[in-house]
Amino acid sequence: MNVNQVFVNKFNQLKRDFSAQLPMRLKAIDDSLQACKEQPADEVRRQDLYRLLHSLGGTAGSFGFAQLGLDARIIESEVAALAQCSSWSEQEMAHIADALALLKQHIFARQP
Amino acid sequence: MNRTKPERVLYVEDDPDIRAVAQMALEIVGGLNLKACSSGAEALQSAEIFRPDLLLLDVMMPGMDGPTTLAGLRQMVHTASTPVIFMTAKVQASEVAYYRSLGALGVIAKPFDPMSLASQVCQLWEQNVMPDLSKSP
Repeated sequence: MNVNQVFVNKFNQLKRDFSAQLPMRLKAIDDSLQACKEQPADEVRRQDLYRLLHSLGGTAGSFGFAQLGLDARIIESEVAALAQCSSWSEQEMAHIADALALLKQHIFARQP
Repeated sequence: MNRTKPERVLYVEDDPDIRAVAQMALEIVGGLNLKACSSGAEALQSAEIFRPDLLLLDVMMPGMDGPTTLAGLRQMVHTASTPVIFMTAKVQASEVAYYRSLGALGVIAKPFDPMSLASQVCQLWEQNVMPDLSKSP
């Protein structure tokens, strides 16, 4: 087995693990958004949400899930743009929730 | 001295999945000797013993981000002038210019292609560090 094959085998295992953990990651993002809804002025909670989306975007892209990575990056950018606000309105929260719902819809539509 | 790739790379990335992929890519595909750290604080602890000749830093990390980690490493004797490459999703011209102003050899965009990550690192090394090394006695 050559070096590239060793890498591909290990990479594919990590990719399968990522796919298996995707529902947990999405749940964590949902929970984080819920926490933001409960305390809209809490900057730490908003940063947590941003980091979860940032992580999903980066990881998905590196595992070859390009569209998922891009979708997550779009929501991440929207969250980042809202970071300058002292508190998020219900409308802004609803917008992020809608974007997340669409993201999940896309993920489950792509799964075999 | 005319090394075509770094001998010891200190790599810092907080996301465990991305760290695992990059570590495999750099070690298995690139044949690099890597010390992977999950935080800037761990990197500061590891640097003195590992004595890297290249730093590969994620930019956005909780606690100490990449630039803050670099500032800490610059305070240490063995990494005061060690070449650095940043890895980030933020690669607009102004952002890249900022990382270069911190002394970065270059920036590797995330998400990265695992199969070409090591060659990207070695290319930046060859372009920026090898010319200097070849001048040294």
